[in-house]
Amino acid sequence: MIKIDHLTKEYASGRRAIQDITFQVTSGEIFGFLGPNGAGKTTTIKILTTLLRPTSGSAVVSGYNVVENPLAVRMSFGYVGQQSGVDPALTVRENLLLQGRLYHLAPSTLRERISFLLDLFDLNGAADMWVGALSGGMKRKLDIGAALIHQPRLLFLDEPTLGLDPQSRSDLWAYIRRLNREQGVTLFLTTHYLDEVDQLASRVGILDLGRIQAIGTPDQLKDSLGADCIHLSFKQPLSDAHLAFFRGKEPIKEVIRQEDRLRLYLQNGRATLPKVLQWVDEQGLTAETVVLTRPTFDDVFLKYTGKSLEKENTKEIESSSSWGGGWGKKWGDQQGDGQKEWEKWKKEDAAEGSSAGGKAGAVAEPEDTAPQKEWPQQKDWPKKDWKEGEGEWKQK
Amino acid sequence: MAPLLERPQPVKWFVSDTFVLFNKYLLMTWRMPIWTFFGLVQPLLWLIIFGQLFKSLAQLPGFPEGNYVQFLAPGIIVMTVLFGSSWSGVNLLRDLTFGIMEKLLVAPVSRSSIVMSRLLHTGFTVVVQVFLLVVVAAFLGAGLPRGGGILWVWVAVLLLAIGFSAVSNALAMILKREEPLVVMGNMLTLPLLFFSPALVPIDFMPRWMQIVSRFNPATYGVEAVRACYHGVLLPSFWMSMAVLAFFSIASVLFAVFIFNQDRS
Repeated sequence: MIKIDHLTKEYASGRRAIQDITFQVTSGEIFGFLGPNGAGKTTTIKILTTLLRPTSGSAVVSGYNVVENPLAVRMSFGYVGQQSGVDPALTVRENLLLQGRLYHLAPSTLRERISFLLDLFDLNGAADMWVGALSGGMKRKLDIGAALIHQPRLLFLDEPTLGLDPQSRSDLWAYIRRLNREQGVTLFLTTHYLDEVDQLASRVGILDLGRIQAIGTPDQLKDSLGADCIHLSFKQPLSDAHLAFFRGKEPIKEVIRQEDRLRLYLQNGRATLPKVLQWVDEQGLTAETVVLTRPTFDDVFLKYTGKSLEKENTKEIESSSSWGGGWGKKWGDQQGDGQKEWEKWKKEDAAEGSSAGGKAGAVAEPEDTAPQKEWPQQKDWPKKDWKEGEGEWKQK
Repeated sequence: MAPLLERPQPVKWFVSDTFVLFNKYLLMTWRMPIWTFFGLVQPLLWLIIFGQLFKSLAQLPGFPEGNYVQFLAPGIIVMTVLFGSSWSGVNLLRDLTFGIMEKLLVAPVSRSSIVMSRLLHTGFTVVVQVFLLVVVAAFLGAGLPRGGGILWVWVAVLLLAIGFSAVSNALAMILKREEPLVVMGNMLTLPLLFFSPALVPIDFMPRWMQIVSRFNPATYGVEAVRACYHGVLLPSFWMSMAVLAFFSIASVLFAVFIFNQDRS
């Protein structure tokens, strides 16, 4: 469905947004494209949707080269951008009509498509409402409906659930899954949300610094880290020597450090845990908390992009001591500080990266630098408790 | 490929896309007609206040008209065109921020029709505004365009509006931000007005301003509209119309070029 071959994009400013990217998306899959800010996700999607020309390399979408035959490519896909794209000054039905006319559909076909899409997205009740009056979740459904007006086999979704509340997000996921299963639509999805990828994607590509860092199914990527993960936090500050010590130990496959915390990835964590604690003592360290988990997608993400994030966003990581914890918690709950943190970064990205600026995007919650909690505990909190907990933190 | 779609037909699509988009903009204007009237407030204030302020200008020797409002009305008509057109680009930015433009650009829509529909819509709005202005000006004592002039006013106004809104849209596409566009719009429209015979007869201007005004499309707009008011279409009127047509076509080509280019 999509074939990208040694694709490179260099902007006039000399900035290399993506470098030598090669991968394929096959028909019928949901491909999740994941990466931190400025990783080049939007650039890639803009090249694939014929909005940008690549500097070198080639991209073939639905069998057509994006540079040589942009018109055929445009007819073959649907696109849901970061900004809404439907006109708030028109009604739902008018937007769908307009969209269908721009794809030059015959009037009778268009009527059928509109009633089909209104049914599919449960928008019948809102068909004659102003788009400006719709809720965020409904508007997003309309965005997707409008993108499907010409029955494309391929749909690009650029940050589809940005700024939606958790309920709308999981609703939207259900629609996206149905599209894929029932309509056989191939989906190319970019996102900042790890849980989204883990929930939806059949295959994931992790992009960082303009390069593909890893590609595979979510399980493959998790397995690449080892079966278990031991989270340790210490009373003492960690030194590089400590880090090297743990790296050198036999069953440990991978060590990731976040300030005074460590994540150790290994096989058979249960059996190794006592040994690990022994090593901690040997090193003259005192463990404050110890948690044994299965690697989650945030572990994968940390592994492939963590280094660069530390380099680029040291400040953010320092200011948000629960950076990893946020992910861990969000992993369990779909919503959390980490997510908001991402949203903030994402907005900055949108502001500098996209031509139109991030004005029309999600509503940020600037005051929300939610108080941080100990991460291992959050991880184990059940959903309900955690929500109550959030209330408490806010009061603090 | 989806079976619903027909094969590309550039010419047919250009016409139908332009028509579809023009209709959409028209529908939006129809629903919010207040903006059309709003655009008239400032020109009307000028017509009334300037008309009073410089009333005695008409007594100066060599003044071409009997009273100043009569002289001023064509100038204010051109001013309405300038103000109205300079907003066209700002509306384009609205489409950019809402992602509406992006959505258009990923659709198999003719690029040129995206520009053309906007220009036609601005032209249409301005023609409606000018119609209202002509009526009000008549009540204020400016009289009506005479003879064939009554038709040619619309042609002149349309050419000028399409030309200026093409420039405004192209600038919007280049600048991509509202603030500099509004500032540039303001910075350009007033000098264009002052360097034209809109407010003062050209003979009253210093020599250097007269020379500058010859390079100003608004000058030809004012002269053409004024000729329409007189109802005497001399060769100089046709000259003005030719300049307006040239300006309009050149600006449209420029805007189309900018839109087609915007892919790097």
